[in-house]
Amino acid sequence: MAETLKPIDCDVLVVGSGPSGAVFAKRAAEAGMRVVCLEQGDWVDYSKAISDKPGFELTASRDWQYVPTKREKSGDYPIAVEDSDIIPLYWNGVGGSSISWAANWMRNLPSDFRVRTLDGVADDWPISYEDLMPHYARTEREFVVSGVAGDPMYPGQDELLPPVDLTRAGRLVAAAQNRLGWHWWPGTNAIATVPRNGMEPCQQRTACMWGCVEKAKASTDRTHWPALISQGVRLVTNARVIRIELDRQGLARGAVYIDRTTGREHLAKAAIVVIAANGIGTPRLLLSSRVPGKEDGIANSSGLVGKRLMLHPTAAVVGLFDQPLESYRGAWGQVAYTLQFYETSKDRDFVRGSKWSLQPTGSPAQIARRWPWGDENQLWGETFHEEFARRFGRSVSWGIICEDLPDTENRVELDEAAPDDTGMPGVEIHYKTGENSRRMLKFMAERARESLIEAGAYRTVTAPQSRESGWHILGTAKMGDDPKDSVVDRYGRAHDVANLFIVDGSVWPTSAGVNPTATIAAFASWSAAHVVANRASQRMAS
Amino acid sequence: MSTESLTQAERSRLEGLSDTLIPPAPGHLSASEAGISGVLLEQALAYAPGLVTVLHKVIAAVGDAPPRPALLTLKAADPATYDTFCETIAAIYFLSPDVRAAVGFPGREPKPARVDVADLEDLLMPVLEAGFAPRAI
Repeated sequence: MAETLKPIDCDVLVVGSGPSGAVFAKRAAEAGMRVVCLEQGDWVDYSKAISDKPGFELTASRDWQYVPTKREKSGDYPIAVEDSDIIPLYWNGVGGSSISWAANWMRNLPSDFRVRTLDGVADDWPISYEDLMPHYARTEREFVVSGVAGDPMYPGQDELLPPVDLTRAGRLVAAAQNRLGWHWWPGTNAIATVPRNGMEPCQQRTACMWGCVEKAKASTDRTHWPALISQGVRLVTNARVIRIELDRQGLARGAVYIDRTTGREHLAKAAIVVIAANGIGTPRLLLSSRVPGKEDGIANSSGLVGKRLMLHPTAAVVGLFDQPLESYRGAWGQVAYTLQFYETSKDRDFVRGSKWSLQPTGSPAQIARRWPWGDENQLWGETFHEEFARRFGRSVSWGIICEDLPDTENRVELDEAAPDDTGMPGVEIHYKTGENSRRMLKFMAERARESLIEAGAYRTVTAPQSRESGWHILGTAKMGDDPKDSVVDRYGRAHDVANLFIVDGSVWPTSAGVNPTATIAAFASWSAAHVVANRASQRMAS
Repeated sequence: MSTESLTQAERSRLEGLSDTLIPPAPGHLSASEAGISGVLLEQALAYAPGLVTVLHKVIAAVGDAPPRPALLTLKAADPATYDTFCETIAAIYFLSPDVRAAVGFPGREPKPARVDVADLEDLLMPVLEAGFAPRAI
């Protein structure tokens, strides 16, 4: 029998403290609602952030490990990836995956919301770019987004902090893009360049992606939660939600969770439950919330919970230059991006497209890693110093994100045979890279190579496909107007449970071709605005 | 944890393996010359004591075989461990200030990332004049 703790009886119960959960919590709290967040992991220990010290790379895989199958952190759960071409990457803890992200901040493009209409594939979104515009702008301020306003590809993005350094390599590539007549723009990043919202400017110690010692890279454990807690929002860590409880009318009463420090089970009651547990954690929770009559989990009358998993296949092409570029430092992040090949073209053998981000190649220890250089580029042995000198400080990389089309065979399922430490089932990932994506990857790598050669690269290296590349986990609780063909409505409200909202990347009908956090955060803001505006008429459990 | 985690014999083996990966060259120290089994290893294990696990694993796996063929065998049999070992050796090697100086790495000194948009105007003007626009919907 679950125990009800008196203090956890709130207006809004948020499951997950990453970007979507934090933004929703902030909006609700600002509207005067009593908000509680249950987070299965713990706070990051920033005493282990040593990106200013020589041993940073020696500790990164231990303290900032982004591959869940390699990580043994508090809050993690079993994930089986043997049947997946791509391993999903995420962080379980306060801040969610904003702890282990590159902070590329890209709005979806207007066309991303009209994929079926424009290209005859997949689905349209039930909302538009214009719907999200004010929420993009607001979340960009919260996430200290820097860049250059005025990219002609983005209507209405006009308030950004000063940009990060384009770098010497970036200037070469930008000039090359201009000569080719190809779009590019200075990078937009959730990385502060001036003091703002409690954050401090990036100091480009190297190309350090995790454990920001400067407090420059936005993560919600820094940008949101300290202020929210001081305002009275309760954040409960080590709280593994094992199921959503429904009443007889099918409304959510709250969530049952295990306090992982005591092993005790509790019920957190709430008028509204908001799931923000990412594209894997969210279907895991819905599917695990089985009750008689709902053996396939809750909010699942469409049968789509866990289906249509999209993971954004990626590619990378490195250019080597015969001049010093100081490419051991730079925002990571992206120093520039291009949307030149973002839209469908009849000249190509695939639909949709890609965004590329330009990145430095990093510190000496980073240069010595296998990826992105591959086996064909031998580093070790007699050629070590010669090959190292070619790479180090003289190379730059285009990272390529491919829009992933939805496929119901790509999915998240429960793994009953591998429960976590509370007894909740783990997950299995079933994912195959589609033919459209394979063709797109090949095309994009060839174009990226042309860009780098135009910039002056005397040699390019196309990185081997890496399984550890599932940074963007989308689509497993589809949003739509039709309850037969979607899990949630345009505001993230579950069609089947009127006071249950899903606000993370699970709800995306299509994956777009850009980094998703900007739109994940903006959608959470849009959803929360709807909840706040309609709270007087909100149905809730008896 | 300290270098006591490796015996003298193991450290000797580590030097042989490391020098196979990072040999000497004009102007550059080999791994052993840089102190891969001594002061650098001590520093590395202070940062990350768990590193000793992969070092033990590889040293045990290659046994007394000559380093070069032993590493090739490891690479074929267990590429993940081989990659981890190589990357660990490199990360330890670059702990050396002399090594960093030799490759021209100034260290992790702060350099503010912020730039003024005005500095980018010449590069951005062609983009603005090219007529890029979001796809009509």
